[in-house]
Parts: sequence; structure tokens; C-alpha cells
Amino acid sequence: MMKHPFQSVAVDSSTSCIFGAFKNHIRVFKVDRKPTSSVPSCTPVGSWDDEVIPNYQQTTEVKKQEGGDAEAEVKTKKAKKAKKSTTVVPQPTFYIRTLDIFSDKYLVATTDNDKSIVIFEIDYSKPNCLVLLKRQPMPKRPCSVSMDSNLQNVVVADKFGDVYTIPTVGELLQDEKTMNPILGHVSMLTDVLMTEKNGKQFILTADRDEHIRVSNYPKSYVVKQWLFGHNEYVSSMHIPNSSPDLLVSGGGDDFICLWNWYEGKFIDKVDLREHLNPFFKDFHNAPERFLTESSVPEISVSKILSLLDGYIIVLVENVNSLLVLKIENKSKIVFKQALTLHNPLVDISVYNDSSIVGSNDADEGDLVSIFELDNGILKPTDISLAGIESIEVESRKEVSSLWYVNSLRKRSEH
Amino acid sequence: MAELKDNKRKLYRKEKAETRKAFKQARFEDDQQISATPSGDESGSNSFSTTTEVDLPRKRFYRQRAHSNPFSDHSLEYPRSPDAMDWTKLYPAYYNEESKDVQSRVEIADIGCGYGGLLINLAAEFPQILCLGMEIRVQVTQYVEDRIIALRNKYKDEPKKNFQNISVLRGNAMKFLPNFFYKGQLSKMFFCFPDPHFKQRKHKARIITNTLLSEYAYVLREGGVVYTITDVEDLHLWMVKHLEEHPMFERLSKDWEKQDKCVQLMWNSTEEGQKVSRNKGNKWVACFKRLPTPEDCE
Ligand SMILES: C[S@@+](CC[C@H](N)C(=O)[O-])C[C@H]1O[C@@H](n2cnc3c(N)ncnc32)[C@H](O)[C@@H]1O
Repeated sequence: MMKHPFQSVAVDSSTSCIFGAFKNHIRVFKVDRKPTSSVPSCTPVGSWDDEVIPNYQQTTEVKKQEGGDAEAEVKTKKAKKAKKSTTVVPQPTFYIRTLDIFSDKYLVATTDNDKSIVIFEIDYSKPNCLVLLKRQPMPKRPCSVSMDSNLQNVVVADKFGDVYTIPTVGELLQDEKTMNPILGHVSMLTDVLMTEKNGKQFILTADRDEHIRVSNYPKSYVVKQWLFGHNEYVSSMHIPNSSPDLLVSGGGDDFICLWNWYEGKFIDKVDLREHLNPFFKDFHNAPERFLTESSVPEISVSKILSLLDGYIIVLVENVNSLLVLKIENKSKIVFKQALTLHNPLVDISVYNDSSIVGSNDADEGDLVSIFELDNGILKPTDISLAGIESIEVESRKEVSSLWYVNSLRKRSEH
Repeated sequence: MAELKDNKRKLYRKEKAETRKAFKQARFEDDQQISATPSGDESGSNSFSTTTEVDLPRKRFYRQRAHSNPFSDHSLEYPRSPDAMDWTKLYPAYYNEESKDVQSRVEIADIGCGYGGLLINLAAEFPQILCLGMEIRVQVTQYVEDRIIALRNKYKDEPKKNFQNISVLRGNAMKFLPNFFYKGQLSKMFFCFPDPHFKQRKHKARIITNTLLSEYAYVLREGGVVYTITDVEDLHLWMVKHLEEHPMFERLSKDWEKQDKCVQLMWNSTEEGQKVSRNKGNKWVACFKRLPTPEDCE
């Protein structure tokens, strides 16, 4: 028996509430910490269980339909092979992929099984703080969400390369078959970020083809520029609160990039590989048929966050480590520390301006841990969040897939 | 029999590849999978030239499956950014010793140029302007490369009409245009007889979509023109609809079309256009102007 890890965590810093998602459930806990004790009380204050019970039968049927349609067309051998393998996959996917909190007011979740965006208002005066506003089905699987500056629209990027907006409150649901994207890449999108400069909004989108695009908003049909510098897919972008002109990005490359996104300038990059060497395991090797003499373990950045004073925390998929970088004088990004962990972290979120929470991928122990920046050194804290619970599962087999970022990597065909 | 032809094709293409290398033009993968797709016009059996003269390439040796999936990863070569693009191999005559670079930038792009008929005509029409064909199919691209090499060779003593201002590269224009071109670099983009992708489900594969038009608007300068021509009415209506809906484009009038030289050129100079004429098919033209960037945008 083990506890199902949180595949996604988010924090409302204003109230010290931790939001965690496991499988198709969300739980919210309020953390009350007495100054003298390292054991705070964690009280459940909200929950949501995905009502649309994922129906395995249904998923396979849809897939068959698609396959049947495609078969009628003249197809390349390769495409056929790919189709077959999707119908064979026996695993129903039903879980919440992402959780994001905007302005301490809204929680937005993306679900995998019916490709929906679920928007909640966070209201602690209610017995259950998660007030469901809407569940909007999307044409394709959403991968990342953001919100515009006046919190009017949720901005959703999907696997098909398109970005849509959904009004946060009010209005009926849109028919996903007739929704029009506000912008699109001919690629898989991986991240979307709304930001502002001189009172104007911009939208940043990252994709599997090494591209980061900066577009105007709401006139998102006007592209401002591209940021070129990655050699592999980009999976994570972050704008530090303290310097809103800067952007930190990472993905399948050995390095993290620092940009001035507004001026379209590459500023600096910092290598991760040398610091990750002690942490690689078999997991990080390329799949066997792509292994060559020169293959090295593959790095996949899954999250980038910032704390005060320009400190940047980087989460790399399935390593027992958290990396600390620092932006110096807005002109350099340097490596500071690789904190060794007992277990990999599935997801991280900012707890307050000098600490983060991480969700543990461990067979036992707390589901989440808090790490604190102390004089520039990241340290685990002894704060025990034992009251934060998910469900028990029989074995690892029942755990939702936790690592998928590296599947974005493009493989050469021979 | 078929095998013999295949061998012959391979031999022919090997010879051409060597010429291409000799001319320092070859910046793409060597011949790999040669398509075994049979083609219609293989009845004649001319032998290869053994002279060192560069002949015009023969199209039938470069046949490739008609459709290429624009979403697949291919294993394309493309520059990291426009800054990283080396144009000197494509336009060697424009190389400037001092700047160590090509002295002008591509301004006209033929997207999905096929066998290059339009490019050849653009060469003479715009002798001062660099024109580039972009084509996703390897062998078709190589055909155009060889064609340009041969023409450059044949007209090497001509001061003006010498084909030094046209070139071709293999690329997926739906994914990587901004890797090649700067903002506002292009003055004209041609979309001649693009693949129709008839099925509803495949419409996103069309080369004109709402979202892709924003990328074309980015690489086009204000006042730049998108030219479209097709023999498929449904596709014509689709392209017109999407271009008209896009806030960065405005349709140019029939009168404008009548007086524009390029409209005449694209009507009959591309291989596909000629085929349509032979089959007495209809052709639909629509041209659009790239509007100024809105004032509240950057
Ligand atoms: C029907 S042909 C027309 C060729 C030429 N324009 C003509 O009129 O003869 C369309 C061409 O576009 C090419 N193509 C399709 N998608 C492309 C893409 N994404 N990037 C570059 N070329 C593409 C195809 O390989 C094909 O050669």
C-alpha cells in the first residue's frame, strides 16, 4: 500500500492553502503553523472529485472511430503504425494534469479524460472552498493555462498547437466543435504565459519545435517576435515576479535560458548537465532503439519557479534533486546549488517568497514537503505536513503516470 | 523492368548529386530513400550524358509521393534563427567579401514551389531581387536545385538574366518560416496550387489557416502581397474566407490583379498550372495586401 502522490500542486500563499491533485480528485488543505511547533495542523477546506467518471469503453470507441476514418485515406505506413499503437494502449487516462491559481481567486484545472478546463472560484467562507464555475470541454487536450490581467479570460494552450480563451465567469459553455483559436503553432504547445509591459498585454507560447513566440494580446494575430535559442523542445517558461521583463525557459536542452522577452533578446544561459550527473538513472536514457554510442542521459525540465532576490528553482523530471539558479543584475543566470532529495518531486509550487512546496514521489512519508531558502541556500524544512492526504493505492501500477515531459523529445527516424 | 528503371533513376540521381556537391550547393541530406512510386512518363529511355556539361535535370527521375505530412517531424534541417542562416551557398554570386555575408535579403518566397517553374520566371522578372522557393519534398527540392545549377551554368556569361538571384531550399513552411526570415523581410509570398487536403479532418494541414496567416503577416512587410492560385474551387473559397477574416490582410481588386505582372506569371508558369491548362481546368486567383500593424500592437 502507498499513498497516491499529488501529480500537481498549487499554493494560495495569501492563506497558506495547499491544493493537490491526485488521479481525478482535488484536495485543499489549510496549513496553520504555530511558531513553536514544527507540526502544523492541516485542515481540509475543499475538495472536488471529477464527476465525469472516466469511461474506458468510451475512450477506446472514440479512438477506433478516428482510426477508421483515417484508414479510408491513403496513409503512409508509418502513420498506420502509429494509429495502431494508440488503439492498443490499454491504459485509460483519467486524471488532472495541471492546477494553477490566479490572483488567489481562481483555481483552474485541466483534465485529461474529457479534455476539459475546470474553473473554480476559491471562497473560504464556504464549507468547500472550491466553487465550480464551469467545466469547459476543449477540442484537444489542454496542456497549459494562464489568465489575462483583468482575470476575465482563461487562456488555454493545447496539444494541437492552438490557444483558446474562455471567459472566467458567466456565459454559457462554448461548443468545443466550433471554438476558434486566438493563435496557433503548427506544433504541440507546451506552455502559455500571459504577461504585461507598459500596460499592454502579451501572450507567450512555447512548443515542441524549440519555439517561443511572443504575440500581442488581445490582438494575438499580431506576432511580436520569436525567441530563438533552444535546440530541443521548450516545456517550461517563467517570468520572475521581481523582474517582469525577464523570462526563464527550459525543456529538453542541457541548459536554461534567460531572455528579455519584451526586447526579444537572449541574455544568458546556464548548463544543468554537469550538476545533474550524479542524479541520472536508467529512466533518463533514451529508449533503446534510439540509443547510440554518443547518447547521454536526457534532461527534461518540468517546472521553473522564482523566489525572492532572483533565485530560480528548477525541477527536472525524475531526479532526486532540486536545482537552484540565480539571476544576477538582470544580465546573468548562474548555477547555485543542487539540493539532494530522498525522492523525486513530481511538481513544485511557490509557498511564500522564500519557500516552495514539492509533492513527493515516495512509497511512504508525507505527500508534500516544504523547502526554504535560507541565506541563499535551499534546505528541506522539518515542517511535517502529515495531515495532507490523498488515497491509498495497492501498488505503483495504480499510480497515474507522473513523468511525461520527455515524451516531447523529437527522435530522428532512423 | 521496374527494377531496371529504379536503378537507372538511382544512377542518374547519384550523378546529379555529385554535380550538386561540386557546385557547393548541396546543403541538404544526400539521396536516401528513393521513392519507388512509378510515374507516368517513363516510356522514353534516353541515356545519361557523360559530358561534364551540366544538363537541365529530367523531372521524371525526381518523382516523389505527392503528399507530405506537414505535421511530422521529418528530420528537416533548418537554422536556429534567421541570424544563424547561411545564405552564401544559396546565392554565391551575392556574396560580399567584406561583410562575409550575402549582400541582400530574400524578398520573394514561393511556398511549396514544386518543380520551380515560377522561380525560373521570377529570376528574369526581378533580376535585382533574391527569390526563394521552399519545398518540403526532398527529391523535388533537389530537382529544382539541379535545374538552377544548370541554368546558372548555361547563362553564366549573362550580366543580368543569369539565375543567380533564385534559389531553393527544403523546408516545412508551416513550421519554420520564422527560422529563416526576419520580421517584415518579405514583399511577396506565392501559394501556387497548394495541396488541397480535401477531408474536413485534414483542414488544419492546409497551408492557409487563420493561425498560420499570423506567421505570414509577421514575415511580410506592410504592403506585401500574398498571391494564391488554385484549380480547386473549394480550396479557393477556403483561402479567400480565411484571408478575408484575418485582420492583417485585405483583398486586392480584380483590376489590381489585371495590371500585376506576377499574377500573369503565376497563372501559367508553374508545372501544376500548366497541367491544369492542359486538362482545361479552371483556375482561381486571389491576392491580398498585408495591412499595417495596428497602432496598439508591437
Ligand atoms: C500541388 S504542388 C504545387 C507546386 C507548385 N507550386 C506548382 O504550382 O507547380 C504543392 C507543393 O507544396 C509542397 N508543400 C506542401 N506542404 C508544404 C510545406 N508545409 N512546406 C513546403 N512545401 C510544402 C508539396 O510538396 C508540393 O510540392
